[in-house]
Amino acid sequence: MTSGDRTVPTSPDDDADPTRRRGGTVTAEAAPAHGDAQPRETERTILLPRISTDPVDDLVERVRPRLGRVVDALQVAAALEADGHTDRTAQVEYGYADVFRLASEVFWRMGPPSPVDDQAGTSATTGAHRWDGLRTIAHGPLYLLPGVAFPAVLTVVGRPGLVLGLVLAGTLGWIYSGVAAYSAYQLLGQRRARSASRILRMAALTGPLLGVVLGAAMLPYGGLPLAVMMVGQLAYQMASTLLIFYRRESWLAVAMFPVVLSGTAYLVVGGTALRRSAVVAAAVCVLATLAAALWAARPTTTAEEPASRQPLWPEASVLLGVAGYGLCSAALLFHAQVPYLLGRLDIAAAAMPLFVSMGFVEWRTSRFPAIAIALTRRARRPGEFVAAVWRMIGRDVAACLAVPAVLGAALLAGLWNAGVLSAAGTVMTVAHVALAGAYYLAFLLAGRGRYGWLCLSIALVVALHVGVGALLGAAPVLGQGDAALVDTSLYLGSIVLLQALFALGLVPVIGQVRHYR
Amino acid sequence: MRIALVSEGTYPYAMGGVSVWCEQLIRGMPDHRWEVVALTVDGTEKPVFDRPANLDRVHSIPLWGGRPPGRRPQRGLPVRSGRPGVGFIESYEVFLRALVTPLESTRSQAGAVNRSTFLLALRGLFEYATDGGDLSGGMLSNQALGMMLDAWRSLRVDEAGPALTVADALEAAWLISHMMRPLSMPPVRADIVHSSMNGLAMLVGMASTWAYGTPLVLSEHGIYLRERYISYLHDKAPHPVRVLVLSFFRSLAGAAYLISHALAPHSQYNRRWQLHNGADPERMWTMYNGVDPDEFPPAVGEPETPTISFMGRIDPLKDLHTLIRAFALVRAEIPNARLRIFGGTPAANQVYHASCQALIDELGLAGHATLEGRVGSAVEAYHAGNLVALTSISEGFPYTVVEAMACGRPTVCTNVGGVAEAVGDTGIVVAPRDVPAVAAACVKLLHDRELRLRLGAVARARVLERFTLQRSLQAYRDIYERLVAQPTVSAPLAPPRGQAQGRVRVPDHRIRPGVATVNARLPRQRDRETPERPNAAPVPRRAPSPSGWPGRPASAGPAGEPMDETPRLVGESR
Repeated sequence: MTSGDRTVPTSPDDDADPTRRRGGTVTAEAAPAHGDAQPRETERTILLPRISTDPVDDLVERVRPRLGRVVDALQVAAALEADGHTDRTAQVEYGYADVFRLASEVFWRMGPPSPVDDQAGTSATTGAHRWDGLRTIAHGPLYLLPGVAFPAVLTVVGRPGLVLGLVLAGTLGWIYSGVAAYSAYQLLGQRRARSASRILRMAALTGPLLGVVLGAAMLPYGGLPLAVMMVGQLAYQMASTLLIFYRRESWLAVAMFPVVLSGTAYLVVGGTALRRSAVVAAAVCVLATLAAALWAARPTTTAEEPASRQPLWPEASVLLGVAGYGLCSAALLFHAQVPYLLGRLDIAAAAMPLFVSMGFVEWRTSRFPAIAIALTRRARRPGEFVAAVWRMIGRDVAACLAVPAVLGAALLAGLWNAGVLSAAGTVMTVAHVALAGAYYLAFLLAGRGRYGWLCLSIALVVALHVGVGALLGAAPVLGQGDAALVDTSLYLGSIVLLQALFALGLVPVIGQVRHYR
Repeated sequence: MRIALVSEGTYPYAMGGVSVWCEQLIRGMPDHRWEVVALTVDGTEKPVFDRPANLDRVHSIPLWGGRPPGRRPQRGLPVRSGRPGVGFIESYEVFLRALVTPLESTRSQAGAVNRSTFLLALRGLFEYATDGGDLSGGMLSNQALGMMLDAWRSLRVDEAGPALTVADALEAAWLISHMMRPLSMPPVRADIVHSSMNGLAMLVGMASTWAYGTPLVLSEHGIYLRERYISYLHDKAPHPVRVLVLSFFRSLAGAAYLISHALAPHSQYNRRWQLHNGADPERMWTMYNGVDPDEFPPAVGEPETPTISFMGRIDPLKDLHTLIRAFALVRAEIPNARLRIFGGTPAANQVYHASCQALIDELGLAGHATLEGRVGSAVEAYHAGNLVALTSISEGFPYTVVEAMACGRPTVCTNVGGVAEAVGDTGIVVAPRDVPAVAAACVKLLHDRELRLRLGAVARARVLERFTLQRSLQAYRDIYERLVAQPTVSAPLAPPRGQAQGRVRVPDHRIRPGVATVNARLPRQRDRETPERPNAAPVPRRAPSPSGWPGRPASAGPAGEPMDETPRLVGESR
């Protein structure tokens, strides 16, 4: 096979080294002699290339750079034929009966494939990724921005009908923006950015119109100011949905900055002039936000969208599920909070840590798929993957509880200092901390499309909370008594149950590897 | 007679040799009713052919879009855990065994067992889908992925290459599950199913054969498996994924040869690959593509400027880079020479089109070498050159060469597929990717007018003698008539030659290396009087329980089928 070796000197083991015999092109310095750390130049041993007279060796080395990733001899045969090798050349030049037999020999001599380049490494977190995380985390405070203007608006709207208006507009906005965003994301997944833009702009324009209808219905309860507030609330919810969809959180912050300034000034200083300026600022800024949202959602390309077999709109049942999820989420929050909004500051404020940390919860959820995909590259078996996924969920839930817990502790300390903290307020704060963990699980369920499970679970715990409370005479939403501690404790219990139900809903789907391709 | 013609990525949604052949076949047999089953990307493709009057329906089976319309898996519990049924597990385990087991040679006994095993597993999976099982869901379930990982570790324990990860298993299963979609579609009803190529299109025919006993004809223009191998040479997928996917293609191609009632390679070259992957030579006969000589009249004169013409789609398989580089050498000898590249560019090949243009610019050939785009009539393209060049790295039996020959043009071609068989001594055939050889051949022909004219004349004569459309159509008409003429009244209970039947079962649900845990109904030895026509008898739900893989009879072929039973189709159509 090989002859004419010019390797000087030749190690006795050389002939037993299959890589050298196959490669025949290794040029390397010999290792230094034992105990001689600095070999002299004259004592260097040079291994010259082995020269093989076997043309197949030469062929192997010629094709190796291109065929290093072949899987079997037939693939080598296909490649050799594409290079012009025929049965005749296999016979005449290489001495094999045909290309297939030549290919088998070449495949064998090439040795195993190199593992290099096969494993896609997990990319390091870049600055852009870090900013993406911060952007998502900022959602929580952004959700609270309009709240700064509420005290000023409250004085204009007046108490009658305010809570009902807030709840109705908030719930409707929650559902409507949720459905619009879901549809838009589906379209974006089908590379239909223009259709997504159209749907979002339509939703942003029709949302305030729904507010008009709702406000008109509320005229007997709160008059024109309440109706205007409801329109503004829906406009803001739709506008913020669009800006977050297009990752323009900074626009939202800038547009609402005057509201924060004037609202804070009114809260600190008070006075009619500041109140008026806060209300005017709120109205103007909501309009500005809506305009910015419509601008952000304008189509940026005139290219025709790709044809698709999938319908433009998701199935009605899916949209119903999304809408139901929005309704249930609103019900879960509002049914427990509403009775205390105007009368119990410590209980009403208990939701603040949750709102502020919602961006963090969203961020943890958004990281989930990428980390799970990385896990599929490390796990040796699906079972290992499932275990790792649940460990990750455990860690994420803990983190999602920790952040609002810290914020809640600060809030409780402040309320205690102000002398307005009650046991019910404390329990309610703990319940909202628990709710952050539940929302993390809910987002995972929504990501798997399990809206039915979400709705049923929430409906069940709301029914239990209200039902058991009614039995105990502690259901303020039904106008029962003044047993806030029992009510909030029941609420806490229902949220813990909700966490369990959500986790149960994840069991059949979250560990299925097929979701993480 | 109703014939279902099956294609993948070609007729009626794309131009190309196979599409032209499909239309020739349908229009050339107006006395038969046709339907086309087209495997498509996502079902949004628009036909590029006018529908012939005798083409009743076109079914599209999208492989990559959302779930195609048609039979849907039955829904069980409201919460879908993705856990597949027992019927799936049994067949899938055998499927994996065939897929994962390293195979040194497809011509070996192990290769024969692999093909039969794979075919049985495919049938089991088809029946699972027929019973309402979610084939794709099953293949992507954690349990199935775990089975794949177990099979890899058990059967490739000595392999030194990269190990299969969960992500790799998912990727491979996802690709294969999409490609297996035809098995989940309602089987097509026809008197004959004719697949225009091997591979995924054959799944359609297999389903019809299993469901209704429909005879199955397989034509191979190029070698499907060979082209998959070439396309995966530079694929970025991890090594184990490429192993699994290419094993799937290899096993599927072999299983298709096993189940086909008639196999028509479109060149002698193709026969080599088919025989190497287990095709039965007694059920094969070579069919050459044909053209209508009236549609490709001989050119009256020659262009004033020395011109090399290319006609075909812009595609990496055509290796236009070699042609362009060769043309640069030609221009060094003949400065006023031109290269005109006619043909459209599929959407997927836009990058390649741009690379060709960039190469033209880089070599300073702008204005001399031109990408002309789609041309109204191919005849114009052939007549536009003094010679016609084709520098492909893979071909079947290319129409462009035969058409150019019919037009009386000499050709310069690379020796791939059936090109040399087509050209014979009427042109110059060189090695693929050999730029100097292509250039030298072109220069020789461009310098020698007498040689060009002589080769052009004998080229047309060769087409008239061997490669006419009428001849090709008649050969296929004979095949169809012979297959449907088999007695059907007393349908035989035994399967046809080479067709594996039965449902596979693995006793302990565990992969055991080196143990053939396949129970199956085996092809029975038939009496000579037994008709060839397959039957639609109910398929047994379970194998009768032979233990282990059968021993082959002394006179058996690779898959255990008797060698002495030869369908009367062999050689008669040549």
